[in-house]
Amino acid sequence: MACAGIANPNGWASPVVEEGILVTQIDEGELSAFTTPTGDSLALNPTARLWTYPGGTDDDDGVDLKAIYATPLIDGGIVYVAGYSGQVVALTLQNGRPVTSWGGPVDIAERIVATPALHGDVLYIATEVGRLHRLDASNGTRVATPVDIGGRIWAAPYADARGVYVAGIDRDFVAIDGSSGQSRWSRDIGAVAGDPIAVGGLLYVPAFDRRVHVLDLTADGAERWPDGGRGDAWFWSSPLIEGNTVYAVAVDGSVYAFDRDTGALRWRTIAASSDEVRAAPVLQSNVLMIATRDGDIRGFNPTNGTLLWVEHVSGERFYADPLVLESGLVIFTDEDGGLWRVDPSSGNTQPFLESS
Amino acid sequence: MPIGFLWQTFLETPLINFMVLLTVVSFGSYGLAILLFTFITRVITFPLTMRTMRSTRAMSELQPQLQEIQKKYSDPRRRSEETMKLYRESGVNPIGCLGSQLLQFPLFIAMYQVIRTTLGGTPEGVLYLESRIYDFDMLGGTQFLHDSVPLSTNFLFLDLSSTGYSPTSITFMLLVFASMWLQQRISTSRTKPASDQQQQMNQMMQWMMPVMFAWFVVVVPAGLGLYWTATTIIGIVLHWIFLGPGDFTWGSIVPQQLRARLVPAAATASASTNKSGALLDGADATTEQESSDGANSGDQRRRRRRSRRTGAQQPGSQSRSSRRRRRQRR
Repeated sequence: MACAGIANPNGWASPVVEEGILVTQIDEGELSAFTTPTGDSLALNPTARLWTYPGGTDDDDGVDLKAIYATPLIDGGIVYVAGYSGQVVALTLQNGRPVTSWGGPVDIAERIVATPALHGDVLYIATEVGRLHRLDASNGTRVATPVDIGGRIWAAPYADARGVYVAGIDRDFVAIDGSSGQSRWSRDIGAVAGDPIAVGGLLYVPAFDRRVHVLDLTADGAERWPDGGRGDAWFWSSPLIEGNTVYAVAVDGSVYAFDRDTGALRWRTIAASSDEVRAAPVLQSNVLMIATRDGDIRGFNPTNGTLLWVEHVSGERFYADPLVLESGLVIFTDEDGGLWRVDPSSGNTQPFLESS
Repeated sequence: MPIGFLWQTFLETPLINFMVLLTVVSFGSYGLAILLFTFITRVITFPLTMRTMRSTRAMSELQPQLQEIQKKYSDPRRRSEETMKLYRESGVNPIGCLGSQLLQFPLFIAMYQVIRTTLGGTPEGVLYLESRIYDFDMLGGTQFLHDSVPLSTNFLFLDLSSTGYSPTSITFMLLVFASMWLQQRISTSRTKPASDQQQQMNQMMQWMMPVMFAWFVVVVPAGLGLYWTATTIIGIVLHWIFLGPGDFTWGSIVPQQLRARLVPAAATASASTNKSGALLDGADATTEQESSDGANSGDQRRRRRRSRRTGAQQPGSQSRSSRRRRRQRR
């Protein structure tokens, strides 16, 4: 059945690299770390795995992340992980052991899909029941009572000195005072499930109203593209900002290039068949790449949208955002946690690390 | 063509879009949309339901003759022949009462798929839902179906997307069990089992079906529990209206042991009421336990009560207000 698996959460956390360590969800609900991949395949280097969490030790008793949708957040040698089960843990990047000052996982008891945000010492965690929790990043204690936003929150909150910005799938984008939790302003921009991207005081927000919204955080969220950024299907994946162009992929697989100042359409490709795309686009070696739920990886010319190549990975689904390693390797993660290395020039796709 | 494709194209996907449409007209409430959908399907299948009920009624009317056949013929083959002959002569289809139930099952399975998909319980589910929504362009380029998803999963204080032993699922588990048990109890109350074997079968069904569906409700999204509770309650109401309760009495819900303890107290209470000159006759003092012994005694009691309320009332027992109304009419 085509819908097999839709009722079971698998998680689509994107892999991250910090201090030469790649952290990824290779098995459902488990986080693994590998030494910096330098070769062609991590699978060829069995000693590359540094740690796995939970790893079956006594310390990990009672830890059940269930599935990981939120991309692990790494700051100052600490990995903050939020599981779909509602548990939040802080791990030492080098060895994967829980940070002692946290005293074990913090159970929020609400499902977590959104990637947490960190600003100063406060870790902002948005949940599926529409609440924003504020934890002290150093010890995991609650800084203040949770703020009710309403609706399910799947998009990562964004925090800066002015406050925290949260978008839910209940069609409201809300700016909150970080310390008091009071709402500063809100914008009705349609349901938002994809992570907004902040650049230069502007927040680029993909929305289900078939638009990419650009909100000016310095002007109470004033819309900077009142007439631009329009597509023909939901925008779920995060947009990619490169030079003076904003690339966005709609869930039906159509790719759009918008003028960064006005949101005017520069070019668009129409998907041959209705795909489901959640993964963000990536630009490497002058090739714009997207990955679909049906297992397609496609390369486009970023200047005019011409399709350069299509690779199909049989039996795999791509939801997670891709990663570009320092070496220039482009990594896509499949639904089961397997990593795939893609050559931007030819589209040649090879297994990089297989899920167990 | 593969059956899965046909199922999806002609039943599941249209129902998904219909449910989204109903949610739009229900002011964004998915719970109301489920109730509306249940009502609509009940209206559409009403002719079939009526046929089933006519068949049930005819079957219950044949009970005396069937019992006679049971007594008369000891040879199972002969008994079966005579039974079939009776059905044929009376124009009764013994499996006619299955029609509505047979349609309910594919609907239940389709609703399971529809609710699971439309609620988008997981993020993957919402992504999948988008691909199943029709592209209807309204004036001004608005795709109102696309714009209305993801749907809100909250209904009153309940989360319709929840599964497992969540408060919502447990609530619906109990409601589904209770309503199905009641439905089974009422639907078997019109016919006396022809044999001990059938009685055992009835008793097993009385418990097995509610337990099975209650368990389903725990493992599927709670929205399906709302649908099943609503459709079962409508079924009970229709049965009650068109066939009556049979020998079912609310008192019979109470376990027999508990009833046995309560009965002496009730009898004492009714005796003291009689002394005080109330309207109770001998029939009213009949205990629930006694009444459940005879077929259709619930109906008989109802008729007695109705006749008491109308012309059969004793002159002396007329209330002051009704005497006044009569005088005014004269």
